[in-house]
This record gives sequence, C-alpha cells and structure tokens, in this order.
Amino acid sequence: MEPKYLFTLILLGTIIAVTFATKKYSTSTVDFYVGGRSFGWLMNGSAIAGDYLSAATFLGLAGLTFSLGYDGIFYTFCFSVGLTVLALFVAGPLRKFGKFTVPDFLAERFHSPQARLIAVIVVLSISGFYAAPQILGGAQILQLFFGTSYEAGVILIVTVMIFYVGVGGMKGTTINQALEVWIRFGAFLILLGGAIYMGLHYGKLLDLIASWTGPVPGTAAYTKDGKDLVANGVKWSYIGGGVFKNPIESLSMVIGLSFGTIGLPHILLRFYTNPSAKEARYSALFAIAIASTFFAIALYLGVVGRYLFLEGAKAGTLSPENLKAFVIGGTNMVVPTVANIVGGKWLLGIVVAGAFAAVFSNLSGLFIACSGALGHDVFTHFINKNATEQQKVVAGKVSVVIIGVLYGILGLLVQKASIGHLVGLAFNVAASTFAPIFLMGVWWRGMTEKGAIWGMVIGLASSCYMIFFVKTLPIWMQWKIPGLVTVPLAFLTVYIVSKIDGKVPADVNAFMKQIHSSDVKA
Amino acid sequence: MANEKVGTIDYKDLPPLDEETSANMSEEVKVSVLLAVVYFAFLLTVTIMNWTSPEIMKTVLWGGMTVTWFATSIVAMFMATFIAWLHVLYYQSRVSKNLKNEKGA
Repeated sequence: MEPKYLFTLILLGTIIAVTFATKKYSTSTVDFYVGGRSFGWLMNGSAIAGDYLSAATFLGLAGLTFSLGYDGIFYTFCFSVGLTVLALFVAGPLRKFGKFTVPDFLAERFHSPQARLIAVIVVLSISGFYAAPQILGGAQILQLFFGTSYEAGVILIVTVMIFYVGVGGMKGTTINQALEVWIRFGAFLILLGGAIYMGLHYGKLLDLIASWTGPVPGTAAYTKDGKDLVANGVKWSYIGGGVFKNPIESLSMVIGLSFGTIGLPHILLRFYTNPSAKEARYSALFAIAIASTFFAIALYLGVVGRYLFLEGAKAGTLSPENLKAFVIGGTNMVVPTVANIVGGKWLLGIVVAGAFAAVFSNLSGLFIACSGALGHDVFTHFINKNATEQQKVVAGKVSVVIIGVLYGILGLLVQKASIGHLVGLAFNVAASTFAPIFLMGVWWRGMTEKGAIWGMVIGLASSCYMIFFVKTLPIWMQWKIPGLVTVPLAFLTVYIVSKIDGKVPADVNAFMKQIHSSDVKA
Repeated sequence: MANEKVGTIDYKDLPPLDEETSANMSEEVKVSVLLAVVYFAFLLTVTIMNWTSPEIMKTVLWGGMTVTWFATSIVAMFMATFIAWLHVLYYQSRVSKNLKNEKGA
C-alpha cells in the first residue's frame, strides 16, 4: 500500500477511535458544547492551534512564499498577530464569563435576545465564509492525491465532520484537534530536519533565489503559452512583487487580519473549555508558541521549495513529476513536492495525512461554533425555552447535521471561488463585528445594546460591500482586506451609538466584577 | 442571567466599580495596552519602512537574508510568543501579589 493511503487511513482510524471513546462524554450540554470545561493548557492550547492552523496555513503559506516571495511572507506576518492580541485582551475575561457560545456573551452582557440573534447571524456568516474555502481546499487535496471527483471530496469531508463532531462533541473534537495539530507539526519538523540535513541554509537560498533572473529551463512543457517561466529574483525578494500595491493596502491587511482573529467564533469559544482563567491564558500562550513556530517553518519551506525548483530545473535533476507539480500544482503542491524531494513517498504520505488533519481540525471547530449557535442560541433561547437537558443535546447534534448539509452545499457552490478571497472575507467580517464588540464589551462599561447591534450590522455590511463590490471603489481603495476602513468604522459606530443611547444594563458592574474578578478568589 | 428584566440605567448615573474590580481592570489594561503598543509599533514600523525606507530594509544581514525578511519571517514570529509570554508573566506576578495580600489580610 502506498504510504499516502496508509497514513491517511491511520488518521481516519484514529479519528474514529477517539470519537467513539469520547462518545459517552457528550450527553450533557456542558459536555457537548464545552467538553465539561476540563481541558488543561496543553490540550486546549494544541486544539486552539489546530483551529487556527488550517489547510490553507499548512499548505498555502509555503506555497505563497514560493510563488510571491516577500508578499507571501508579509501575508503570514499579518496572520501571526491575531492570537497574541486575543491573549492580551480577551482570553482571561472570556473564560471567567464561562458560558457556551459567542452569542451568549452579547446576550448576557445586555440581556438582549435581539443581540443574541444578530450575533448568531454573524457567527453563521463568519463560519460560512471560513468553512467554504476549507471544504474547497480539502476537496482539491482529495482530487490531487486520490483522484476523486470534487463533489465526492466535498461529500466525504462533510460526512467525516458530521460523524466526528456529532458523535464526539467538544471532548472528541478537542482531542482529535490536538492530535491533528501534532501530526502537522511533526510533518513540518521532519521536513525542516531533512532540509537542514541537505545543507539548505536559509541565507544562502535567499541569495541564490534573489540573484536568479531569466527563464527557468524545462518549464515550457507545462505552461499554457509553451514558453519557459521567467523568474525575477529581485521582484520576488521585496514587497510589491505580487499582491501589495501600496503601503495603505499593507496597513489594511495588518489591521484586518490581526483584529480578525479576536472575532473568530471557533477560536473564542475554545476559552470556555478550560477549567479556569489561568488555564485559558496558558492555553493561548501555548497556541501562540505552536502557531509562530509553525509559521516560521512554513515560510522557510516555501524558500526551500523555490530553491529546489530553480536549481533543480537549471541542473535538470528535477523529475518531470516534481517539475510539473511546481509549475502547475498551485500553491497547495509546494509542501508535498518538497516532501517528495526531501523524504520520498513516505514523507509525502505524512504530509498528505497532515493536510487532511488540517482540514478536519479547522472544520470541526467551525462545526462546533455553528452547532452552538443553532442548537444552543436559537433552539434553547427562541424555539423551546423549557427544553430538557437531553433535548438540548439532541438539538446540538441535529444542528451538526444541518450545518453539515449547508456546508456541503456551500462547498459545491464555491468550486470556482478564490480561497484567499473567502478567507479574507471571514477575517474581515470577524475583525469588523465581534472584535470591537468583545474588546469594548470586556473593557468599557459604557457600551450599550444598541451600540453593539449597530456596530455588528455596520461592520458586517461594510465588510461585505468592500469585498463583494470592490470594483465600485476608487482604485486606491481596492484592497484585498479592507480592515483599515471597516474596523475603525465598526469601533466608531459602537462608541457613537452607545454615547448617544447612554442606556447601559443596570447590572453592568456585576458583569464586570464577574469577568475581571481576582483569580485568587475565582 | 440572560433575558432577566434587569432594566437599564443612564451611563452617567452608573455607580463606580468596586475597588477590587477597578484595580484589577486598571492594572491589566495598562499592561495589555503597553504590550500591544510595543507589538503594533514593531508591526507598523516594518510595514511602513518597507515602503518608505527600502534601502534600510533591503540591507543584507547574511547570505541573502535582508533586514525586512528577517524581521517579517523570524523576529515577528518570535515576538508574537514573547509578548504573550510577558503578559502571562505579569499575570503570574499579579496572582502572587493577590495571594500575598489575601494571606496578610
């Protein structure tokens, strides 16, 4: 059996075993939605990293560096900021609040069903925008490595997710996510070790790539125009070589992506699963350490890939299979091709399993966040307020199936969409809706219900407009991530509407005392 | 707590927070804002200098490793963890201080 099949089957077998082993822990709402609040920093930190490091991160960041050079690493640089800002301002207080879902925070801060409902819509929007590219990427990986059709790939991924989250609940999901992040991390460490063993020194590689100007021999066979690809090392090595057109666009990317993480519902709700605020803070730190190391290795592997491609093509030592993968495989093929060159089919097998681990890990977090929004926020608070504990759990599990079907349809609809566009939309909506609400809701007593609702509505609408109708904007404002406009706009909306309204909940001091209590007493 | 009829109050009529919560919030927000300012100063400096001072950012440190490549792909990753670690260190010292105060009281 080929290693890629073997490792993928081992991964699927492990997922099934963990899911069945944790089935008994998903019989109450606390167990199903927040894993009994029993995860220490090691497990939850790994799971947070698993939620954050999607397939786009595992395969895409090295691929972007390979093709865009500095613009690719700048993109990663913006992604690396968010978890730290989240740890500084939100992680500890959020755990002390200690409920089940992201909309719970707003509903309880303002005692407002309306705020809960708007928050549910925002959770579903962000998660949908984020899940679509994950499903798209997962189905493409299945097409590339196993030759399945796109549709079959979508159905397989969604089926695994419904089983994984619906049966295992938060307990099974967290353990699976933690295991999966270490599979990916392990694959990266082996690749890193292999590259260092081959003497691929970072500075030397960058020097060789930067000095390469001209056609890349042997690539004509795989290009549409039948001519060799032309590499421009100088352009590759500095900003403005591919994505970023001006400094304002770069700034907008920093703001949009750094604030975006604060508003990602599947990351936020992970802090409810720790037993204490102390564990939540340590979890965040551990997740940041994993993610930062992961990002740094991904960027190095992108450089290694570029070097192996250029030098291999020049010397004629690249196999036709690897040369073709570099030229027409797209960004997702760089890490697998480097693995194939460095460690042969066994390392490639580990990387393929790692890619699936990334898809499952990230999607399962989104499934849990959305099932909470439907099963807990909508069912328990709007449809059946007197639901029994068993009915609440069943509602959560039925929500997982509904979300699975919806995500499956979404996955089929976005086959031709741009992954970067959808991920950017998810981050920007999160940055312009939940980020202002959580930052101000945690630290400012003056925020009112109307301020929060208007902030979310304006943030959501302005993000969607500036991304979907980008062509209607002046050229200098046609950015991939419009955070520079939409994030301050949302903050200002919350502030101005709250100031005009002036009516805060009468128990806001008690709420602040709860989330900012001394950890000694807590 | 959700959906209870607790009513609203004018923000200007809101009584001040109790001493302990106020102190906790004030101490934590000061440290968090300070660390965030340092962090964002670094991030924005790299971002802006890439466009305004390319000659400095393209300075080679070793091999082909330039200042901007080093800052963006290595220092930034280290810094994300370092800032979060400082925050946790501060948190540990605050908890120890609170414990001492509680024992002394």
